[in-house]
Amino acid sequence: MTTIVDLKQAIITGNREQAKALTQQALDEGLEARAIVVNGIAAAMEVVGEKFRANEFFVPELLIAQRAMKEALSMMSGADVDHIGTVAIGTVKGDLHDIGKNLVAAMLEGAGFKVVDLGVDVSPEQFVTAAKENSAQVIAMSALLTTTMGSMRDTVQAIVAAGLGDSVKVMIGGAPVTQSYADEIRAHGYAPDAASAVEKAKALVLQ
Amino acid sequence: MQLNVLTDGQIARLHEASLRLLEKVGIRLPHEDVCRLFEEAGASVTGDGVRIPEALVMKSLERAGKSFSIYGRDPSKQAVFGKGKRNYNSISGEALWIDDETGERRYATAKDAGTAARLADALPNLTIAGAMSDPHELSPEYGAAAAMAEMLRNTTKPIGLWFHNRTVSRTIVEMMIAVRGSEEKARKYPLSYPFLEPISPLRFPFDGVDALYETVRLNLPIPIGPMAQTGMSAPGTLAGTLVQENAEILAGVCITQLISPGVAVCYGGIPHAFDMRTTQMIFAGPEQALMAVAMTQMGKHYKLPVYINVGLTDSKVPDAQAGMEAGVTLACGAMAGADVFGHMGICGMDQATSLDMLVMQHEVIGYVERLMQGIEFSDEGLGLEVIEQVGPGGTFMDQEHTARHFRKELWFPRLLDRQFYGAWLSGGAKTMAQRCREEKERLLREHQPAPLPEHIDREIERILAAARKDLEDQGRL
Repeated sequence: MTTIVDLKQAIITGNREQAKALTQQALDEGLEARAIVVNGIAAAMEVVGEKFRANEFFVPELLIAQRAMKEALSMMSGADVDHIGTVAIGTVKGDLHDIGKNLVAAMLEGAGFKVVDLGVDVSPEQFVTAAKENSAQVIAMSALLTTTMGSMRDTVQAIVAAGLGDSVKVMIGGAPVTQSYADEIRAHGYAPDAASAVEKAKALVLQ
Repeated sequence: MQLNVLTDGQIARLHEASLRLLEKVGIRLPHEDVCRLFEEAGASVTGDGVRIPEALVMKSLERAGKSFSIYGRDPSKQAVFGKGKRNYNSISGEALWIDDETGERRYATAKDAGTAARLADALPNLTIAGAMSDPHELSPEYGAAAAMAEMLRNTTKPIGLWFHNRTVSRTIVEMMIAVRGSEEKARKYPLSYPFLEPISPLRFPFDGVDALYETVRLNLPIPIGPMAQTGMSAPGTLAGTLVQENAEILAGVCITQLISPGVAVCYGGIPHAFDMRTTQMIFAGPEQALMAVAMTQMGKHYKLPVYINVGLTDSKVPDAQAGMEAGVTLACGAMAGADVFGHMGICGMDQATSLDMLVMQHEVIGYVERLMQGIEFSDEGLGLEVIEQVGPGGTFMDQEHTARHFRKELWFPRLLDRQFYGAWLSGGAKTMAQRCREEKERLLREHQPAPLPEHIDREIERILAAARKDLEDQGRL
């Protein structure tokens, strides 16, 4: 049992190496995979989530804990982890500012999404193709400039034109973007920051 | 980090000029005993006029204690002077008080000193808890002692208050002995200090000097700080103000060393500019930053700990003006390297006490303290390895290197707003002033200081009762 307690602690503190070693140790001790996941890994992430919401943990601590969690999960044989969903993400055509996009991608991945990162300067057509090829439920776009924002509208329209209007949800973000702009271009969601982007993506997938 | 505004040559010139002033013009000192001490030491005394020779000034500077600490009721709470530490204090007393419920200005009471102490106790960046109140309902012979009792019940930190006269100083000294349990311990661990304030230009108040005859019993250190005002009680130039302010402080050092050779002093370089339209002092203009830095250089030239008035504001509320004035002056003062930065929590130029303002200034202190830590350099800090790992186009947000360092690299404000617009809006779109008020209310609601041991409380009450009876008998209560 102390192995599980130590594993939980290793994940909370984001210690990847230790998380891996302790997961192996737990398996060697003959502990049930389910017990390791529920009492160790999931329990740790619950604590991390609480600390994050209470402003005790900040984004880097959340991210390293999530990575430790993934390392631990990858050790479980047959525990091919189910993703919450698939998100295709990129900055819009003409926009090379990807700091925010990278952060959202990392946060989504940490939260259990499969993330298809299309990088920067992504055209509406590329978004559509990526959504089809990866069966993505969500397309996430970011723009830093008012001059490139317009491409978000084009992408929404391209998705509808490609017949994906029902199966793919679009979420947008970036400094000049607002909820009212999202409403205007008929995007399904807007998030002002990386943490709420994760919440929004979860909500869209569940819809 | 070191900020200077005077050259070595200018420091020497100010020093020389102040010496000439003391020798030629001298000071007015309406205290016969101290005048006699001056005469015996070679000064030229005519009535209450004292002209002080250079040799006496230099000898006094040499004799004066140059480092000291004051200790809270909990002696681990220390304000250390003369050792390169930065101390921050709330104001030792104000006549008026911004009422925390009505927001209206009224006279301050002894009970207010307890509230001030409790708030200071809750604010970690404050080293010395000031009374912030001069109880109006009580006589000057008793008020500060009553304030002291309230404060002892509400803070374990060192205490700042005005020792108005000899009578109340005697009572306060007895209370300090009661807190420590013996006179010896009270000497070893001073709980507070008297502030000797020359009245510019070049005068000393009888009561302020007379009070020292009581405080030297416990060898309490003595900050000396005149508030010379440019163009009003000092020349209309900054340099002239500095000459006179320095002369007044040096005269104060002589007084302390004549009364009690070797007693520790603190160089209170707290001159101010003066507003030629409203005819009142300016607390925190750019001149304040300049003079505070210059005064710090002068004090350090004499190897004395330094007390300056920075981090203050002329604004009545914690607004943009307050943030600008407190921030710039405190940053400059801290970079100059003074020992104590003072008198936080005043609404405007001595217009009242404002606890909301104190809470804002506390945030400014946090900001400036981070500034003073500077940039730490190490291989780990340079981060070449992590830059290599992340490579062009990646993010550092999920790197262990980031997680390892951001908490000590970054300062985390309590009150500054850094939210996204929408979050700020949905959080009530609060201004800094509102956030300060809410933080004050929260701290006063939640913070419980360690209680004063009952036997000490009883002894304090006994001392106060005896003081009241004495004053009553003399018809002075």
